[in-house]
Amino acid sequence: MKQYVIKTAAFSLIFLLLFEFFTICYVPVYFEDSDWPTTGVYQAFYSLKKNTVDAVFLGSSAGNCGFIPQELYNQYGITSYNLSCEQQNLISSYYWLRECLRFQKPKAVVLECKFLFESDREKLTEPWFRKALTYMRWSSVKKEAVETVCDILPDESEISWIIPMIRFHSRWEETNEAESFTHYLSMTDKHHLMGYFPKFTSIGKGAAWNMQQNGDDVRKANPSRLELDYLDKIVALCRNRGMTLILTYTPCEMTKDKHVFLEEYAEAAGIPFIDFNDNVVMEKISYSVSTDNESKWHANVSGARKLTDYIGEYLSSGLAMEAHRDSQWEKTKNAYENVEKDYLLASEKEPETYLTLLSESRDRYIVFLSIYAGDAERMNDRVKQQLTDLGLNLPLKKQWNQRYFAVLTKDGAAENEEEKSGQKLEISGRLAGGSSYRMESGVNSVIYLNDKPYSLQRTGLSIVVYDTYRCTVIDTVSYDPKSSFLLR
Amino acid sequence: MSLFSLLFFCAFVVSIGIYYLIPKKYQWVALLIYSAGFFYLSCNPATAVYLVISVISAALAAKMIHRCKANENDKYARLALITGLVINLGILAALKYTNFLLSNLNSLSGVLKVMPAIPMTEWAAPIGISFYTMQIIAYLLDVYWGITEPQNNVAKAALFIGYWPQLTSGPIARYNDMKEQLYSGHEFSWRNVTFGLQRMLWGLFKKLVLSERLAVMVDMVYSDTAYFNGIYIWAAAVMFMFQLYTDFSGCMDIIIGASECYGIVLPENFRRPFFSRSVQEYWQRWHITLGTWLKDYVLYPLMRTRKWKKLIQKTGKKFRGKAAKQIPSYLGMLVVWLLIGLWHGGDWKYIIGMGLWFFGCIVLSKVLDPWFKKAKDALHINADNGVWHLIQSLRVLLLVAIGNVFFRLDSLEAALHALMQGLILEGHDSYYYSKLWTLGLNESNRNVLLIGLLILLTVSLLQRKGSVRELIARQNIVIRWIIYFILIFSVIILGRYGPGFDAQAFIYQGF
Repeated sequence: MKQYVIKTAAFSLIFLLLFEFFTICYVPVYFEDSDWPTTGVYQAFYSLKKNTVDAVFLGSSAGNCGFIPQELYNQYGITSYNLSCEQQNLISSYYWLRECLRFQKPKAVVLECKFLFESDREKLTEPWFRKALTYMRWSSVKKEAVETVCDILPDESEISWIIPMIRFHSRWEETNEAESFTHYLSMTDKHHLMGYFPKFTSIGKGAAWNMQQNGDDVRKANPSRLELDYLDKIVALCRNRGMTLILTYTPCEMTKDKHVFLEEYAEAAGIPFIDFNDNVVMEKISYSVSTDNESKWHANVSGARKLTDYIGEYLSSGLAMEAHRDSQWEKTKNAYENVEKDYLLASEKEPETYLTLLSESRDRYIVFLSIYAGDAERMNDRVKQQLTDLGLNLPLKKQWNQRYFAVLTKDGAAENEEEKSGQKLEISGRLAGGSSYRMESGVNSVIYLNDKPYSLQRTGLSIVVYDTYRCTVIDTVSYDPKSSFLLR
Repeated sequence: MSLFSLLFFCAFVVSIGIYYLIPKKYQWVALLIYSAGFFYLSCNPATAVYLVISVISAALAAKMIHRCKANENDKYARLALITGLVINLGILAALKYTNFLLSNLNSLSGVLKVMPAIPMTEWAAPIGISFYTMQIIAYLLDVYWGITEPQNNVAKAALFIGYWPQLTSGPIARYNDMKEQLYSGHEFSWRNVTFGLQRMLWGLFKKLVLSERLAVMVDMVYSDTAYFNGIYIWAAAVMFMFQLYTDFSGCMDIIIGASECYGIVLPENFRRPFFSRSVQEYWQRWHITLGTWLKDYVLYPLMRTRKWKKLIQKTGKKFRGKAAKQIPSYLGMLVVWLLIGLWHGGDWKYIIGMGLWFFGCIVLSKVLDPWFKKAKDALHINADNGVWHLIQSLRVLLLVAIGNVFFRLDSLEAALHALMQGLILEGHDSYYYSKLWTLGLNESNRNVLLIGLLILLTVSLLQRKGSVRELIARQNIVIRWIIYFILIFSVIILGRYGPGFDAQAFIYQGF
């Protein structure tokens, strides 16, 4: 009998290990190298010490890239965590708030309300619930959240939440198991921005909207009944726990009807509402949509800094939150400084300054460069010198039309160039962390990272900057020697 | 409750644990409770009333038959038998064939314009009614013929009739084979449990990895027989044949394997049918318990009746030679095949496709047999030759595939239309033909299917030499466990189940 028990135990153990391996391979994960690092954000939340968070941010992607906990700490000494995520509806926000309360005792909750008007029944879909709730740990809160999802989506089964392999096993078709597993191991526990996800680019000139001119009919605002119920629950929960709830609406194509609705709702509930689309607020924080928004929905680093500072002012002055030091936020200062540097780089237009910034942070970057030999020759001496200082030997005297590639790492440059004009050059390789790259010459050369084309395919010097820590591309520019500015 | 749901698997594992922990003499009670639970979770619980009526009527009838026989009162024994049969067949006929009768009456009255159409019934039938009714009939006849003693304990009789693994799709077991196994209890056997679980796993592989993929291909063609024709119709027919096999035999593997875990051996229902050389042999290897049941409880008793013997005498006078013997035999077969068709469902498509078509194939092969033999001799064909065997098997597959078209499609008209479409071989471009190799599956899924079918063929070939599980058991632990884990994770990863898939119930579960 003893041998059967040992055999069964050994068999079960191997089974569980293999099952866990395949679960890691097939259940989708979203780390810093994804568009939105939901998995990383929630993993990092659970690693915080208990009862160290003063404020939490909740909401959809607009909140995720709109509020910077590190900025709040650096400027006001307030410890906060951003629990917003891509397409987080108010149902998910409610359960994340409850989950947060199992570990933390925040005094303030900042809720980004865009989804109140965005998610009707058609948008309350399984993928978004999965993204928002999969990485919540199992507890009575998650059980209730899953039951709610199954009530809303009749095709959902609770068991597929308990054992996600039931839902995701069919991903074997699109998954390379070894790569997925390596990726998981290399990216896990890499989030150091306290839930914030930076956006670097700007929407550009001409992008502006005026809430006061849109949606004059205030009766038009039509929030989802279900979401409104959960907003009520969030309000009640905050009231019961003595937390201050602040409703916000980050800069986007806001309309007056939504503004009036939220204003009236907040007034009735006796809670503050900060509409960052309000011209008065925008002017106060010098918010410019064209430079502070990444898209019409999301703020970039500059915009997020302004929004966070406004909230910080409100929390410290309005709610009298006291500044204090916490080693966890001290440790993540450096990661945020790097984000600020990345943002500077990604918003720089002048080539010489750009190359200087690149040189300063080159230990964190891998830089992919491609250029026509002829174009290299036409660059100004300062740029040529800067490129040489980076360790590159540009083909300045080569035949016109020949293509040159370089991969610049902290250890030096790997360079390749066409032997003669017209001969197609293709180089590829793998970066630490599992990402692959490929560079192809042609009429316009293309730089692929994980099979996604990045270079702008313009003439001149093409640069793709890859952040080795977050394993993601942070900037793509081209520099035509005929022009004195970088193009994005 | 689906046999491939996690709920079932968890409940089953718990049931095994409890079964071996309680004293042997109460194990049958545990099985009865499991069966009641399974029934409750698998169909409309209200239909339990039919099952209860069947159990009580069968138990009482069997007791009466035995008592009358003991008193040498054959008249009352026969009356008790007929009463038992009428009650049980009556329930089956009312629940499964009323609509068939009504639709034919409505068609007839529509032509004759004698009365308005009668609305169809929506009576729910209990799970496995066709299977357990056949077990009851066999039980009553066995008691009547003195082959077995009746079961005096109604609860024990209920277990025989409603033993949960059989409720899904059979197999149709005999009381004599089951009574000892069901009631005497079993010591825990590592071998029984591991072998049973292996068989269940193999069944899940057939169902979730193979059958569900084949279903995609079949559904694609049969959902639009107006568009698809020619080679597509035949490809779908062959695919459905494999789908039906992997589905039904997969279900049997789960059922028999589950029962084996309790130490109860159920009769086999399949013996590598696609290796058959004739349609008759195919049916001796396919759904074996149905065939033997019809032979033992319909064909042979029919042939023993006085009226049948008179018929033989009459045909002997009218016809000479072989025909005099063959015609009554064919008539007996006709009855059996009509019943096979009717057993599959109250619809002409079953009577024609699953009954008369196969009857026709078998009779024709018997009639033409002398000519075939002459032709073989003239061509110097060695009947034991492997290639000849293959040709014969392919011929059988084609004939079976045609019969199964009637099984799969919604009506007799739809099946005939599809077969006619199969004869059209033109009218489409190369894009149309390029889809033939996937039929709704993408390339990777098609490859999984092909590899899976290859594994199935390999296992079938190995089974000719003996038990594959015994063969695996003889390997060292590393090889054994590698095989088990490959199979387990093939089912978990490659199986088509869960959200996003619509894993269908076992095809024979509705019978």
